Amino acid sequence: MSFKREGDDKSQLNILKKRRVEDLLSHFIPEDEAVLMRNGRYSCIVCSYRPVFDTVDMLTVHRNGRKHLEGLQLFYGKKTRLKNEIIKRQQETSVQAEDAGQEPSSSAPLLEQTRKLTYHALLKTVPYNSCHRKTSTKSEKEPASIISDVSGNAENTSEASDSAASRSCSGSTADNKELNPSHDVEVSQPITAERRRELEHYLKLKSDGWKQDRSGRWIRDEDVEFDSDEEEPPSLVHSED
Amino acid sequence: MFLYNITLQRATGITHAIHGNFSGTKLQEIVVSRGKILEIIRPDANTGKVHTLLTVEVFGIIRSLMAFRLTGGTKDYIVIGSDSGRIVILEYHPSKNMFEKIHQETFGKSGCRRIVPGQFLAVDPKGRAVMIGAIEKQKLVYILNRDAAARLTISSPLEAHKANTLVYHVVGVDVGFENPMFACLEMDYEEADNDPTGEAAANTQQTLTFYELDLGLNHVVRKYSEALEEHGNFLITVPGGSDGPSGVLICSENYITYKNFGDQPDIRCPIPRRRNDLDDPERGMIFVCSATHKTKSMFFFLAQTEQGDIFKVTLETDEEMVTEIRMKYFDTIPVATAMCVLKTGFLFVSSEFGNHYLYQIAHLGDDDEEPEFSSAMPLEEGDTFFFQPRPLKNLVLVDEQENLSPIMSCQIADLANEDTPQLYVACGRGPRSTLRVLRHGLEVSEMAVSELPGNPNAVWTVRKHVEDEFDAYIIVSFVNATLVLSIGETVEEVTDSGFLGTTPTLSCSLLGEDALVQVYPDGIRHIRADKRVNEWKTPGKKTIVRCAVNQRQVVIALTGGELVYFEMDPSGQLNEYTERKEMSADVVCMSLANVPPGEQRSRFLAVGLVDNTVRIISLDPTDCLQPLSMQALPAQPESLCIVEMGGVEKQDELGEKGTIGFLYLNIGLQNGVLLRTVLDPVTGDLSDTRTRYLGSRPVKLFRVRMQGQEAVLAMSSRSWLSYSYQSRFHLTPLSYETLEYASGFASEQCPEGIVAISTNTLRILALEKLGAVFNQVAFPLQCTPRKFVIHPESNNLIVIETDHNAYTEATKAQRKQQMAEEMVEAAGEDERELAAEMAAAFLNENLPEAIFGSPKAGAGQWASIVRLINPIQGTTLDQVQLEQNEAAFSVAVCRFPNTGDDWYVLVGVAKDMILNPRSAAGGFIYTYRLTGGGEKLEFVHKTPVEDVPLAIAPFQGRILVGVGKLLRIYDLGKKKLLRKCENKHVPNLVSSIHTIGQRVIVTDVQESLFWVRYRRNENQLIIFADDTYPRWVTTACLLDYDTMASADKFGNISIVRLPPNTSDDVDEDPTGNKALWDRGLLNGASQKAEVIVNYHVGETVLSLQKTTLIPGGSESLVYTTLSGGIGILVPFTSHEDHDFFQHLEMHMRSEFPPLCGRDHLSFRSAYFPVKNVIDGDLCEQFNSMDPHKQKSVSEELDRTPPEVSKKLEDIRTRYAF
Repeated sequence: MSFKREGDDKSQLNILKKRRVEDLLSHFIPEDEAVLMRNGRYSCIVCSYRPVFDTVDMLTVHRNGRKHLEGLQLFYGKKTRLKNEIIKRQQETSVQAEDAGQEPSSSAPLLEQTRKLTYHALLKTVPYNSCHRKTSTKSEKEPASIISDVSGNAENTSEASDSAASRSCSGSTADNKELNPSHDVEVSQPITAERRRELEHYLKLKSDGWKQDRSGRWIRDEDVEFDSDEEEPPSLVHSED
Repeated sequence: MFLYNITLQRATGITHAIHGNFSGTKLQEIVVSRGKILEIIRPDANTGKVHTLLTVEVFGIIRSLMAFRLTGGTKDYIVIGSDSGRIVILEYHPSKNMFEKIHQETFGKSGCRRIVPGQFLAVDPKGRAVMIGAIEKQKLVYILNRDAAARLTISSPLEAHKANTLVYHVVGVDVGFENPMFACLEMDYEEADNDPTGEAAANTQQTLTFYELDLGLNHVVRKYSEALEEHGNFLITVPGGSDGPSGVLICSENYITYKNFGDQPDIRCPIPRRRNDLDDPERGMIFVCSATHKTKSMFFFLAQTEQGDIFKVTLETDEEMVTEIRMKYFDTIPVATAMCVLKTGFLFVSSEFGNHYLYQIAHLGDDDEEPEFSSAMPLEEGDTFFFQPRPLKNLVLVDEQENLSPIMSCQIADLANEDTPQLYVACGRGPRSTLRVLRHGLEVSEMAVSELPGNPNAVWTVRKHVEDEFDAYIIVSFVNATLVLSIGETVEEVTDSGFLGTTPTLSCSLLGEDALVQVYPDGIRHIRADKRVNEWKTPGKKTIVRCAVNQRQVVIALTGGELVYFEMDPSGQLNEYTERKEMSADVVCMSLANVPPGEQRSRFLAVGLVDNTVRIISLDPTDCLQPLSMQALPAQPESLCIVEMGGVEKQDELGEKGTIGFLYLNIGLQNGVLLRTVLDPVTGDLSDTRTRYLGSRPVKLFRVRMQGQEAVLAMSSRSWLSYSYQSRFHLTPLSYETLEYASGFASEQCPEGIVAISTNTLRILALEKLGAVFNQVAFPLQCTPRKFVIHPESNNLIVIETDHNAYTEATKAQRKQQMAEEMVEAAGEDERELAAEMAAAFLNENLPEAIFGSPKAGAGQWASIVRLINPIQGTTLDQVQLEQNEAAFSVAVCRFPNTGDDWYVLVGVAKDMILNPRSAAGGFIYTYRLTGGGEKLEFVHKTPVEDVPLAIAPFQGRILVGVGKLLRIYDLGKKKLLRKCENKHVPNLVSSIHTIGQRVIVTDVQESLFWVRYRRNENQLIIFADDTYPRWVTTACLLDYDTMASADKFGNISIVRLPPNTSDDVDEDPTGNKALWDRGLLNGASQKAEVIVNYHVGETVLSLQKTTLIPGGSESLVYTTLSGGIGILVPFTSHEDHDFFQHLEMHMRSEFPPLCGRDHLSFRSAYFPVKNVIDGDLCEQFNSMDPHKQKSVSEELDRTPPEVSKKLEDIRTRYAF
């Protein structure tokens, strides 16, 4: 004879479960109306004389009694009064604070700040936002003028970072100005349009598979295919507009 | 992110079909399985239409299905073998319209495993036992019987295992009432496994094994086993006992063989072949499915070959000995997965691909000139019979069930400029492929359209007698006249109906048994059957403004808001109620419910007033004309309609009627909103209001009948039908032009139609496909569509169609010519002329490939087409036939800004590809220029590549191509595409490419997703992140910059996201070598994506798209599956909703476990533990639960059952339909 339940009869299991829950709920006693004492016995805290019972059943019987029911009214009456009193006090303080012209929350600005900081520190991940942020710290420091994109395509931010990388390679005259990232906007503005086109052209050649040798001449990358008539890279057309 | 899964259209492909008397009456039904869906359908013998009775999703894979009937019983049970590791026996209850699980016996692990039974089911034809078998080793036999109360009982299983044995098919042999016997096609591989020389493997033979269930010993024995000469693929049981000779037919390559016990010699007959077939003549021919028809006096089999030809197979017997197999060509229909011959003479065919058909068997093919082939005819070994395929002769097509399966590709866009986007679905296989355009709405079939003199205002139909089945008159009201048309063979005007023709009509109806009533502005006309007319005139200058009429009651509203109530007394007299009722404001609309059967009157009148209220007024004699309840409305009401819906079952064959439904008050408002509220049948209280916006015009409501139940036709700028179908409410737009007024219509030709007015025409319409979400327009294609793209300027589609094992048109023509020449050459001198004639006839013969199939060219033969198609008209604007053995696999449309504004179409083509083991002799990228405003393809050049280009995507003015496992950037050159950059680090095969900004997301066929970054300065592609799971990605979709959704070939959908601290930046890694060389664990990328969502759909998903389906709706992720299903995943917008549905799902799992015994949670977690998705399909089964269970579940959720179903409806209508 084994005590293992046979089969997987869900309904029987459910009946058992339900019965158990019913058992537990039959003497449902709110937490604040009775206490379990250290010795395992129960005490009714509704009645003022705190009677003690051995079992829950006994407590249940007591709870149906006349004395207890009278006590109940008294008990809850007291509780409500207390609650009302708290609300009243809170209202009074907030009215006073209003009169004094200060926000109640700003009473402890430092505390608030700390709370915020700890909240963020405790978060496992940053709350997700589908708008993409630049994660790089460097690119944020770059002058805004370079990023202002004329064509308005989605590549602007990364183009900027590409251009930053290309700076060291391009040996043109605009280099010395461009190397100083703290250059102010008004000065770099007129140059940028020209410079931009140059950079764009440079990147285009690079991505088309042209390479610069040591002397700065453009040569073909042997891993990349070209049209047969492409001997020289297309030069940048200077248009005055 | 938490998602909710909603199925928009269930799978349409059928995997199994069985027939039987499942409802226990004389009617035969068909039960079909559609993968994870069980459906019971019934062909209507009168109309020939197939109706769906019940569809249930079982949340498990149905692997086998059998009908089972106990000896002497009249009702069939359904036995299911599934992936649950359990055998389940279901019973269909027609009165409750539900399946009940009678038995569920567990025998093994869940999942589709090779040694867990479930793949094969066989029943004893006399209904005593059932065998369930696995692919390997295990077979179990259950004895079924009935107990004292005639309930079905099931025994504990008896084992018939044999290790090292593969099973091909199992059937129950009909042995009469001797011990039940099962026949198996088996192969014992033990020797082959243990022989390292491989000699045994070459010599291993398939065996036919008989297992006998000894009922006396309660034991299964392996009775007899015999090696077979040919390799069989399936078995057919031959009727036995008193009905026939018993035994089995073994269908094998090129032969069908009859075998039985005892002295019976084997009878073998070759399978006939088509004459002058373009197929490879060395290819064997096999039967793929069969159907048995058995009556008391005869039986025959219909067996279908893999070309679609059906043969009627009969057996000649001599004293219980079979002497001859006879075979006759019957007809050719598309290749089926299952066929069912019904007693009513219908043949139901569930097609392998494309639509399913119901045929009427018009002739049995007994006496026609078609030659009959017989096993007794002498033939040499290897020789066979020939026949000539021809169009249908014995079968007549009566109905067609639309089937999208397989959906190869789908795109959702509003190309037709209709506000609501359409779904463009490329589906089908081979010559049965189609491009279908799906639109949300019910298909309307137009039965008749006739013009009227002038513009009518309203239309009604009336019967002459209450017992009449069909309507007698159509009454059309004009501004100043009324026209009465009688319905017969034709519809013509009559003047002797008794209706007043010189006035407009407000309403008319049949009154009592056989009287008619006409309400017009100046009075009421009561026309008795003997043409006596009673008239009631309005008092003084008042006129009737509104009225409501039913079978026994008439209520009218006079100018000034006065209500007058009439009721018919038992003598048939129409009597006015003693009091009148003054309303507080003008009446704008009224409605009466139909009189419930067996009662005198409808107890409620609904009145809509100008003060934006609806009032319910009692008509009960005790408190007549007393207001009962009132509801305030957001706008002025336009129309009211009280109907009884839901819960009602059709009267079944025993004449017992199911439960009675609820009363619903439908309120159409002037602002185009429809409200549906529940009307309490006792108190008249209104509760549980559902709201839906229908269109820009005021909503008019009309009561019609649909499938024996009441339904409401609501008309705004679009017409909608509100009806209850399979215990769910549907509110579906009609795919038809705007209508103005309508009424139900019943005639012999159209038993459940609608007569409607549209401008100056009268239309008779029928709605047949109730329950369908989409209506379809299909345009045929030539080969299997693989992918298509939309040209954004002209909205034309570029479809690539590729078939394996096929000839191109050119090769076909060439082969045909060659065969014709051979024909002439083979003929003798004197037969030359005849042969030439035959050859000419052969060359001219053109059998449609959609039915007869295309010739099979053999493995490694490919045919492809690039087609430019207008998706609205379905016209092919241009097409390019690629050469034989060039297989198109990828397509893209793009511009190259460096070379101007022209649009280019790029097609990736594999050359001489062999599927298994995968190999290819390289590939090409064809470049075409789109000219003529996107209507012409102009060949530019062809670029050879080393491997199969499986994916092409435009990227920053150039293109990204996945060539085998290489990811490359190409630019347009003058003579070919120029390779500019390459990455070799994708492990297996690039299957698709997506781009966003500088990021490229590449899917690998076997290793999930890779995030690649292109660095212009270095001209490098660098993988900077990948996924942590090996997913066999079929399709993917960008959700936002960091998030990708992907589907795999095992039927999972997952969403992965790059963590916020992922860096794809060059700055932090100036050399770029970190990402290039710093490979993470096991050579993966150094950064990993996080899994956000995992969900097992249960069907292979082939397309994913993020889109909005309804104008003004929110975005959802739409997926389509190989089996033809369409579903969406929608995000929860609030935590409360998520919490609610999470709990609902939890309760549904325990309270309403899936039918075939698979645990819901484990099904949805079949490959990856389900994460962050709640199954709406399960939640929506709440509506089909028992009312008391609904109550208990909703109480757990602190809600009422209507509130729960309202929430279910709300979330569905917010995103879709």
